[in-house]
Amino acid sequence: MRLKSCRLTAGFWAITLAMFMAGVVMVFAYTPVEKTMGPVQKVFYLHLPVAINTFLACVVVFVASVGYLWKRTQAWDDLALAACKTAVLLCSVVLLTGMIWGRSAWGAWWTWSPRLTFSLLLWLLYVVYLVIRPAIESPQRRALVSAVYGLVAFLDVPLVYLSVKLMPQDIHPASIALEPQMKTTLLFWFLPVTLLNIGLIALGYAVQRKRTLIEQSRGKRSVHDTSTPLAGDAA
Amino acid sequence: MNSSQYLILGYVVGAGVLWGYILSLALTHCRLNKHLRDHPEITHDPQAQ
Repeated sequence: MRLKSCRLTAGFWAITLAMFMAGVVMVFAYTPVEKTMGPVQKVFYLHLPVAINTFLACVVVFVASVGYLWKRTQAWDDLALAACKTAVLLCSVVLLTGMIWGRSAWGAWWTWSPRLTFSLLLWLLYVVYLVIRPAIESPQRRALVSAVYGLVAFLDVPLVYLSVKLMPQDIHPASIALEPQMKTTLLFWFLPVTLLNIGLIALGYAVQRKRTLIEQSRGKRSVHDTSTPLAGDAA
Repeated sequence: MNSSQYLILGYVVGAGVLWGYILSLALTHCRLNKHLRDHPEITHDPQAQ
């Protein structure tokens, strides 16, 4: 059973890596060069799917936070943490590839346009989620604060998405006219990036469950396993 | 740097960050598995469960 699970996991990552490499080959060998921006426009095929998957990871943080507040089980908090780490990673890639694209297309690494600013804010909000957690000693209080914070942080996601539509003067393009081959490449890139997102959250969750198990065995028991409430929980 | 070099930089940075993190996460997973194998009392501790 364990061997079968290992083979499935290895197969999943092998397929994801193969599709990722196929996507890179498509970008460099199959997709035509866009006339206005030149070759650097091809960063878009990685940039957009990663941006959409950042939103999906944020949705998982939101759902897991609601799940924790509803059920108060540690597994929901572990899922929210795994998804938050994935969201920060994907958002970092969005910001980095966007900066590289902007440097070539606009001549500047960064501009304070609404979409870029809200994207940076999104990254900061989820980094803060990770930074505040170790500062809270009690696992139950940590999970509770994280869940509430996870709900609040999600409010920035629609702002990032709608910023270009609500503020048409934004330098960030709302859409790009694509030739059929460009559309094929873009749609293909959603496959490896979405698989990567799912795999990262699943692997992160497995790691976090094991860390929680070790932490609990060291004496930091969940409030749901104890009959005595912790100080401050009565309020 | 020209446009093509920025394109290559974009994919090297993007793929490097993503797959580098996956590799580090997989190594952490293996390390935790080994720790749990070395300490079977953790998985059999009813309080920890």
